[in-house]
Amino acid sequence: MNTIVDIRAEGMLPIVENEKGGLFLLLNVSYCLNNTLSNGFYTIGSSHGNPPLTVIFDNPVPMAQIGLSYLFTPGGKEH
Amino acid sequence: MPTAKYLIVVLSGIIFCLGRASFGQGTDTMSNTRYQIGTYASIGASVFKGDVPNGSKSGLHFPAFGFGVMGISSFHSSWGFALGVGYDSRGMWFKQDSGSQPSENITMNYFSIQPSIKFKQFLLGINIGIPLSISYSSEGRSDVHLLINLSLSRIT
Repeated sequence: MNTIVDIRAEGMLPIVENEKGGLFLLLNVSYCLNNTLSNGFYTIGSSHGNPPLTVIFDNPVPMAQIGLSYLFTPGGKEH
Repeated sequence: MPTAKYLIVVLSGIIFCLGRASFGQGTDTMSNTRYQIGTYASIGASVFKGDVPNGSKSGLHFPAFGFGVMGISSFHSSWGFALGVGYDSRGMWFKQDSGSQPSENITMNYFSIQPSIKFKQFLLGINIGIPLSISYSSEGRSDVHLLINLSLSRIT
């Protein structure tokens, strides 16, 4: 496996906030800049290729996620 | 594959709109905070973006998830740095073009380091995934198991 590097963008939408912290809705997308498996791999269809057992070397894996984050504010907010 | 592209484009658009909306209003609920620290958890889908062999098809892999801790340091009312560290799991899914089987799932797990620049409610940065483990699963024909074993021999 390769060490992967993604470009990552994330939005944090506040749901609940108080002096001690807040709950945020996360929306993020990551686009992989390199391959996940440097030595390649085989999958369905690889055995029917020409030549047979074609190795797949080009294998970046981007992803999109939704989630939650709770962030504490040590000492409270500054005003 | 088109579904995955649309999903990524739509989510990118939503994130962009969040940033624009925040910019347009001139307000930021996190703006006056110097430091914030906490946890995060997210779930979604990943997709294989390489060339699929003839006779096979790729699609969305569920789930792609992550969790960990995150800290944000604001040096300005709008700007700051963010750093997340945690566990990240994503994968690839393949099936035979003509039917639902055989199919193969490849799941990869990483230790994730996510430095970002924060602008209002928008984070832009990179994710560095340090490999932890990989797993394969398949349904259908036995020759898929052979391909998995061949793949494992390349990786190890």
